[in-house]
Amino acid sequence: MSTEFECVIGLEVHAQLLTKTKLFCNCPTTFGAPPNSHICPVCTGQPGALPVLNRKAVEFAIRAGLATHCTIDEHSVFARKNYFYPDLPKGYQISQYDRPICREGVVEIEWNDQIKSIQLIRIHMEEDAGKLVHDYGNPDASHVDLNRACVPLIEIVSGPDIRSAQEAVVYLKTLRNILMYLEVCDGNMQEGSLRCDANVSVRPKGESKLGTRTELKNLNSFRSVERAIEFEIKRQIEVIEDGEKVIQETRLWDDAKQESRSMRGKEEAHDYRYFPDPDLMPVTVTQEWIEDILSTLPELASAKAARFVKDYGIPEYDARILTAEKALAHYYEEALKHYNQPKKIANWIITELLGRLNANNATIEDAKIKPTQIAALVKLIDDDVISGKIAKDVIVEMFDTGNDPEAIVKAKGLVQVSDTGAIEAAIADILAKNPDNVASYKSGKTQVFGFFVGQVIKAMQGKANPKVVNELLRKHLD
Amino acid sequence: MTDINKKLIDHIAHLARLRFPEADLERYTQKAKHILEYVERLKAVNTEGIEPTAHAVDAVGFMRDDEAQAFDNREAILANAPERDGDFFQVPKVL
Repeated sequence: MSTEFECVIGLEVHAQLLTKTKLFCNCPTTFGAPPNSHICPVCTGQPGALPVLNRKAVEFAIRAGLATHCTIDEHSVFARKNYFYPDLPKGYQISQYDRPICREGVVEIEWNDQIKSIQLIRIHMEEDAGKLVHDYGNPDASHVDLNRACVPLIEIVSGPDIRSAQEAVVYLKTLRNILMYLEVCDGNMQEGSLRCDANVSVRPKGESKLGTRTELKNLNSFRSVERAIEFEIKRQIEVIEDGEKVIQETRLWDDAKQESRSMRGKEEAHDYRYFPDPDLMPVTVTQEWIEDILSTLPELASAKAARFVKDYGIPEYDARILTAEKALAHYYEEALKHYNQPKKIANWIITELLGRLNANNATIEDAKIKPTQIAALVKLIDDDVISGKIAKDVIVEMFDTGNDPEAIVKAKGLVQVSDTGAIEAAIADILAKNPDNVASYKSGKTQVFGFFVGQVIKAMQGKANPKVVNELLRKHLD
Repeated sequence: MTDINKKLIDHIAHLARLRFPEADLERYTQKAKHILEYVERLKAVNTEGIEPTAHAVDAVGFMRDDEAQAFDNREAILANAPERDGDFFQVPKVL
């Protein structure tokens, strides 16, 4: 009989903080600048240069800590993590070790239709390393860009509470959403603003002792997080079933090959000799400051969704979609300010706008349609100026051009026809052309009524007011 | 107390990227032992209920505002490197 295994996963997430400047110097943090254009004596480790802590970075770390229910340490300590690598100009990374700024928090995720708590062990602040470029022409050299060196990060370390690759993705998505709502991180995984390492082990089901874990690196998309963890679980189970032992090691995920490889050999140097950085005083945060940050903490997605259901009377499903991104929730509420029809506007955003944005790989920020314009479109339907069917054509043009719906309706002559004379003429024509259907309607097959409505509206290029068409048709047929 | 032996000193030297003649190894091992013995003596002090010291100066850490100011002499920094290639620092191939 083969043993059933369960896996145990913990994630270490690095989030780049949205400060204007680096953690310990005034250099800007703008992404994509020319190589080494944002460098100074501090972030390149010139002798004698001294770091000075960025207050905003501390504030952002506290914000993240409070939103994840951490305890904020009023005195935390920066430590030097010593190792040599060409992307690390000082020969050490300034990080936090035994006194991180935040500890013991919790992130609640929705898992299997229930709320599950993932414990956070700690959140600490640290500086990023520079970037190595391996394909700059010279095959015998690597090239170093230190623009990213010293950019502020927080590292969020979860407990070993996650039990599957899919759950790890849900946790990561939830955490990303929280950080983006807090406006402390832009959440861009492609540009590396959000990075994730996974600690994975397996054990026979029912066993309480943890198995030997491996650390997976280079997981820079949700998909690679899922694939890499699945691959690792399978690999570890195979190792154990072959009667061998899992080795504690770091493994690098290769997204192109869809497999991970051992980074053994590099491991033995991982003796970091942490010690408090003598260039930096302990970080002192007052209770007043913490309370001040707490009082200005923005509403997070789950709270916002609950409010949407309560205040706007929209279904929970819609509320969840509309709060998935902060910018989208804002868009929706802006539209409501213009025309207060929460359910109708939610429908148009979800079915017509989001569908198109997704198909174009775009986000709400890219939408040419302004919130006021989508509100105006819904109002045109409610005011019987256009039919819902015509509105679907109008929104296509709005999506492409960003033009006002009123202008499109006017320019294309799409105003709905409610004039009974014109509709009566069309009805008479359709009934005359379809004597068989008229006969079957009269014999009791009332379902052909819909056919007549469709034909009349079609004959009038969709511009006939369906309400008037219905009324007049009944008059003619009944 | 950690056992200070030649192997450990060799390991620490490697981590710090320090190279010295084999003949000096014994001398450094002895010196490191003496330093550690001195530190051991500090253990006699009763530190019950005392916060660990993270810094020798008893002051509150200063923080600066998040206002960007570009450094105006990046050329000097690039010139300080053993090797450069255009805007990049050049280092031996790492991969």
